[in-house]
Amino acid sequence: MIELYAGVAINGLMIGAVYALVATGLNLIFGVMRVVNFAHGEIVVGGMYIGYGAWALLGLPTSVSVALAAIVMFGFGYCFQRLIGNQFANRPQHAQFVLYISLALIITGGLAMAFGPDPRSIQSAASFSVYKIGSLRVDATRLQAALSAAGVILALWLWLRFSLTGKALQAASQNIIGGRAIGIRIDHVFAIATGIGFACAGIAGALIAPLYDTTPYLSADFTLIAFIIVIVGGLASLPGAMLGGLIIGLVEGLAAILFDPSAKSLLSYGLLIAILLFRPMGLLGKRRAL
Amino acid sequence: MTPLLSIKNLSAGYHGALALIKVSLTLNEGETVAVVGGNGAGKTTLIRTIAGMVPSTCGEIWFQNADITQARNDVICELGLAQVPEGRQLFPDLSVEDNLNLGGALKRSRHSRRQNLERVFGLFPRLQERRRQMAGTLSGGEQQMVAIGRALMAEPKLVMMDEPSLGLSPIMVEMMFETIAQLNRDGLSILLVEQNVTESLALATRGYVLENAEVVIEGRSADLLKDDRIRRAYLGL
Amino acid sequence: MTESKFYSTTRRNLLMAGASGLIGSGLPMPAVLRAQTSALKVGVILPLSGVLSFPGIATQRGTDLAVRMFGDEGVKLEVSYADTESKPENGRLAAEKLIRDGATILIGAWDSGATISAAQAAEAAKVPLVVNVGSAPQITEQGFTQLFRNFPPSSEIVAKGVALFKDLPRGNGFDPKSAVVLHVNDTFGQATGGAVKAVFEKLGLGINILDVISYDARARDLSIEVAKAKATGADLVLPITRVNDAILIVREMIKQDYNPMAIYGPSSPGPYEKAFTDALGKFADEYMTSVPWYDPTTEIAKKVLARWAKDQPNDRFELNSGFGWESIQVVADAFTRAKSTKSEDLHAALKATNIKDHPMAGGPIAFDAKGQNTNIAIPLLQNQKGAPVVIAPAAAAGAKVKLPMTKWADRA
Repeated sequence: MIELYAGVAINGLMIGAVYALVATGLNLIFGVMRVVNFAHGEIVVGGMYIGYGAWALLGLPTSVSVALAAIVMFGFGYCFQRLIGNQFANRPQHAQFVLYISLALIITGGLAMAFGPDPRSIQSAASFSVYKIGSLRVDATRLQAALSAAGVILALWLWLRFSLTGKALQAASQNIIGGRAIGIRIDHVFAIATGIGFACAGIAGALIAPLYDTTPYLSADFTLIAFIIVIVGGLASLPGAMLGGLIIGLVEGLAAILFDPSAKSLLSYGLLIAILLFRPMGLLGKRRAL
Repeated sequence: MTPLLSIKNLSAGYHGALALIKVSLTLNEGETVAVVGGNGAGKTTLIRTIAGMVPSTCGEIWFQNADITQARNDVICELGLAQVPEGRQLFPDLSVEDNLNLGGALKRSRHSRRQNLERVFGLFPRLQERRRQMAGTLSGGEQQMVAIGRALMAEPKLVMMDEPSLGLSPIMVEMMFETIAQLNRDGLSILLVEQNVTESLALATRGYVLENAEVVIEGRSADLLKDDRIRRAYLGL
Repeated sequence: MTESKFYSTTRRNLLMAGASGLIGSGLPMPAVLRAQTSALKVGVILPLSGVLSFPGIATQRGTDLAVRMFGDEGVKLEVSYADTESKPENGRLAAEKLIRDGATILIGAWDSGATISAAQAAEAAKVPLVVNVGSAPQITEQGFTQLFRNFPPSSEIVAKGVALFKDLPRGNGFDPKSAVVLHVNDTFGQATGGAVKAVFEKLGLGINILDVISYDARARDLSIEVAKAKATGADLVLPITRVNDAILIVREMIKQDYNPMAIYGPSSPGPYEKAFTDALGKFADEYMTSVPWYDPTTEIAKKVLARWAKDQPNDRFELNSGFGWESIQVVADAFTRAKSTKSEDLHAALKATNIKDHPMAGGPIAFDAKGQNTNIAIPLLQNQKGAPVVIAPAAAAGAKVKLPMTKWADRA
């Protein structure tokens, strides 16, 4: 029995790390631009299709398709922000909302037209490999995905802390007026933030392509999970996103085991409500008004 | 000789609520010029419009013989026009050093960042002690020092200071104005926007008085200090 | 009797052959064939996109094959398809659209939920609906007068199937005492899952059902459900799935090294489908299921298979294609006897249906008072060497059963 719970907990943590990467991207975009990317889940699914397509058409391994997804999604995010997103920066919230929802619908529709609605799965020998730790069996693909996701989050965190552009992004998220006053190229900074945010989502998608069947309609689940994690972990807090991801992954798994597999989301939403009631800035969020 | 900064009939504002109406102003190289006025007179809008953060509706802004009326904020900073914004507008969760370095990140100044940083620390030794501290945890006076230092890191020819004495203790206020005077003596041109009329007119060679978005009085500071209207309205005499 | 005569015959030749009494060489039709003047507009409702597209398209292929074969016989059928997109509520919309476009008889809808939804429209419009595939018992319990189901209800599939399973020889390590049910959480899954539990208890197999675990039809990850199943320690796993979840479940069982004595999914889509055996390769073998299937020993089945092999060499003829084929056979037969394209005439003809020669295993196709064909047989199938074979009843068997299941790790 302990084996069952341990296995479920580990699985939950591993998928939680990937969720955390998705949430990190959402967090970055919100932190720097105060914009909610309602199309975030769609970007993840786009990354999944890049992962699937790279395998199906070119036989590329996951490591390559992840790099491909990162580059493609960064470019897409950067261009989208420079050409369209920045024009909406000064418009009211509801206009931005419409923009991102439209983007979401366009992406979903485009993917459905290009790939069809049927599930696409990557079937390879690697799908079955496991690492044996004592009596525990850890799915190798999930572990690789989790470690890669954690690695990307760490690299991003280091970049934000120690590089000048990273600090400029932090500066823009902390005080946009100050940023403009000292001549930071805000258009460019916003576009980089969106590019990185989309890249995070795309990488996460390519990492989970071997784990799940890819369909164009998974996006809503990912957007919702990202939101829950961002709110639970703390807005604009990178360590918060990591913590939130792990917690939600764990909670989903344990909920399924302790109650019923259909209760997965129940507990996550319950946790969300609890956080909103008792600690609205999130577990690691700062009290400072954002 | 052409003025360093020349503003002609500048208007700015939103939807019929104009914050600046046909403002004209000149500043020559090496001068300190004061712009005084009460709350809501339009002083901050003036600074932000010059800096390219607020769009103008008509008029012209010339800096060093270049028309910067429609220029982007980062282009204006690259030309050598820096700002110490109202309320400091620091990056509270970054260190003092990071705040300063970001100010010096422009193309014109990035190669001399080390030296500029040393100069700022020389000017404000207290900041050197606190270089790794989060800017948001400093006292009001220290934050003002960071704001000024951050502007200096860009190696500007002209610094616009928006109410640097706001919220500071009297001792800090005196120290602040002393520093500003010193900077001017060292060759920096300064556009000083203030509510504190006495001190700012004492520092400046010339001054402008803004009231309800318009320039109502202008002249040499000495003359302005003797002007009855000013004495009654702003000096309570 | 010559098959080449069948393939090379033209309609006119067949009419002449029929007239001269050699009708036995062709398809089973009533002896009198009069040339019909107008074509019968048939509306077929199927899930051609979405999660159910695999079996839906398989059904369509069988349907088309029958249309071609009966067309060669001179039966003029004009078939239009409407896609439910795998959404049950679209059954009604599809039916209404087809009726508006002129269909006087409907076939559909593969998914039980969509079938009931379509039946409501058919009932209202008084258009007969021939159910090609759809196993929820409630389909024939709602008092639909226009409905004719040529597919067994899951309760019957499960009852007949488990009865054959019960007779499998015990020994050699195959002696299950416990089982766990895994079922998809929709109309079909819930009905069948419940039926399985009830029948196991009723037939007294001596196998204790330890747990019934349901999962969301759209679930992407079944690792927890399989982990729960494994934790019960059950000897037997009884999955009621669709093809994608069946693949996910087996993959998870491999990853978690869960080696039950057998995997048996009575009335479950998935394991016999080509997508399943293609996706899992050697890991698809030895999975068992009880589903209506074609009887490979009959002449007509051989004919259909031969034509299928010619027209669709890359696809497998399984229960979906088979019942798709038979649905057209039922319609063609009723049309020929009714000699009319009017819905009420077709309805009367359908009620009198009695087709003895048909490819799917079982007695003649005939509908009882509720519109149900109760003569359908349920063979026990097991995947062997990448394809499903009949292992029981003995009369129709093509191979011996392999039990207990080879451990995943031992499969070369």
